[in-house]
Amino acid sequence: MYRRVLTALLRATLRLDVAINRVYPTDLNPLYYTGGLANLFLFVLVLSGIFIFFYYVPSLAGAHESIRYLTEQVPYGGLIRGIHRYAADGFIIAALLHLFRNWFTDRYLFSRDSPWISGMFLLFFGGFVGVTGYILVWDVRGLTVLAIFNDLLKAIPLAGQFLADLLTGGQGLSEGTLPRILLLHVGPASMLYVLLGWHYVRLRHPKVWPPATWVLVCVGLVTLASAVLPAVSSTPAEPGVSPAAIPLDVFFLLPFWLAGYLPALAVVVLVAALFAIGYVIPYVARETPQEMGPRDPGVAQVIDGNCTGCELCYYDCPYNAIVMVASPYQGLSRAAQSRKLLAVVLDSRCVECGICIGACPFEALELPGMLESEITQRAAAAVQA
Amino acid sequence: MSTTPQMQTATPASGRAPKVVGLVCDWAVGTTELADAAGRLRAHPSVTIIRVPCSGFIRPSWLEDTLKAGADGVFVVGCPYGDCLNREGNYLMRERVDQLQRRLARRKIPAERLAMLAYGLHDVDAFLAEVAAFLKRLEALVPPAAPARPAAPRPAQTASQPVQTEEGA
Amino acid sequence: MNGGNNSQYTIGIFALSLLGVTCAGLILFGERFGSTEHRDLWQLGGAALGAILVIYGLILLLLRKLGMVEPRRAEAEDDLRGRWTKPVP
Repeated sequence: MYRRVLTALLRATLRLDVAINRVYPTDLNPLYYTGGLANLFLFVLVLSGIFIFFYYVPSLAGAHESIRYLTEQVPYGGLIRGIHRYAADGFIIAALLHLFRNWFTDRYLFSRDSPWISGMFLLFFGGFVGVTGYILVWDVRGLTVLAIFNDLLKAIPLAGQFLADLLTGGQGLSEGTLPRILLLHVGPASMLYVLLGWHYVRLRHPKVWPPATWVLVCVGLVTLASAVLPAVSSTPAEPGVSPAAIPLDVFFLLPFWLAGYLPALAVVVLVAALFAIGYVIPYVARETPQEMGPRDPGVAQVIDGNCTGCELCYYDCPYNAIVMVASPYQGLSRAAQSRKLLAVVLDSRCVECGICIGACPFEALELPGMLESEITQRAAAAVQA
Repeated sequence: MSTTPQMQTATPASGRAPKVVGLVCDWAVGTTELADAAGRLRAHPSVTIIRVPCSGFIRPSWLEDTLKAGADGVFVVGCPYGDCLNREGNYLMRERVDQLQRRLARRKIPAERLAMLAYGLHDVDAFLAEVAAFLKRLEALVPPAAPARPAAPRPAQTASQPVQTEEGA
Repeated sequence: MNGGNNSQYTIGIFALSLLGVTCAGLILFGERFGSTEHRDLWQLGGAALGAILVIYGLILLLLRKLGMVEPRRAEAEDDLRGRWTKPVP
């Protein structure tokens, strides 16, 4: 059932590609660079965030005023604040597109669960950073979000009060709250780069930046949005005053809107369940090797006797799954007898794609489920028939 | 290419369609409905498909060996550039095919007998059209078969001109 | 790519360039004739700046479709090869 739905989603995703590839050359299709787009927005967020950081005052009395000063008095301050706001939405949109595309096209198989898990952490912390960003503005929306967040955390059994105190920097609202929220905004934002390091570590040549066209269009759209729909604060926060309605940012504040309709624990359980499902996606309802057919031919095996240490497989493996070690013994074939290096496949990193087999000129690599002899025999048989 | 009626169909003057082997990445164009159990394309029965886990898996020596074994043409199908499931497989294969074509050209084997295609799951029609075009190009290269043996011993007098059986080549 | 499309792309590039120059002109105009505090009409200036970036990106896209700029080195498609290998049919 799950597999049928997934296949349908895969076909829909690729149908979208067909439509997009009619307009763009395939290497400019933005859906092939969703990760790069998220990274681009993150970069814009960091730069605009540093600018805002210089003006922000993390005190209950001064926060709202400092943001107002930035928006209205500082030249281009309003523009950069708006860029920060819309790049955050762009980041979440790109990250979700990235998640759905990689999920529907099976790009989490074998050792690719490592980028998947780090990606889920990235999404979680990215969302958290966005929420703290809304609190920092310290308008009525910010106060409401903080209050709801506090309630949601307190609803967690056992650790609830502890976590709520961590959020507000002590019991309830105090002068230490906004500096704490600022720390929780900037700290995880920097940690996103550490997580990105984990996200890329298994990939050779990760597509970190989209093509120039998309860099320009995305930065331009974010600037345009910031000018056309300026980011504004609502009235300053007053503890005790709860507004009738607050403008909702669907990408970050959905759980807080839900908290108005569901009990706090239900919202916490829902969010936790969603993330838990996200984390286990690479591991559930996997196809058997039979069902996968040519897609699961077994981990690449080095034929030590033939390996000459030429490093071609090492350079071609897209997942850094091959390492070259000092050759502990000599090979069997003539070319392999004077080798200095030996290729070793790291099973935990191998995705069974076989690209190393294609790279090797010395017949020193094989996929157990699809041997070279099998391919050449089938081709020859097809020709003789 | 001449435009005589024989050249319009898949069967050249020699009487057989070009034998082609296609190594198709299983993540690329969907071939389950296109081929029968033995891997022959229903639309072009002289083409046999072998499914592989990635277009980058293919060793260039296999392509060369297939040509030497008697195939008229060999093609590789990968995912659209930018969308390889294994990220770089189709680019790597593209470069290996280029290299192989240059090597073949140095040995006077026409590079057109080798092709690298890039088609996604739904690009079935474009893929079939490209295979048809590939077959047509191969027909232009297939030398028309000389008669295997004269049916009867040649008459001593050679007053009559031998009939031209070659299509434009 | 047939000739008809090519001329459409070229017209597109010229139209976009004109739009871009207009936006740049708007920005310069605003800077020259705006108030000394540079606070008036910041939305217009910001929109013009964003528009210029988007326009630049679209111009690059049209140039790619015209074949006047190459894709990134390892990402050349079949029909754009020929730069450093023999063109293949």
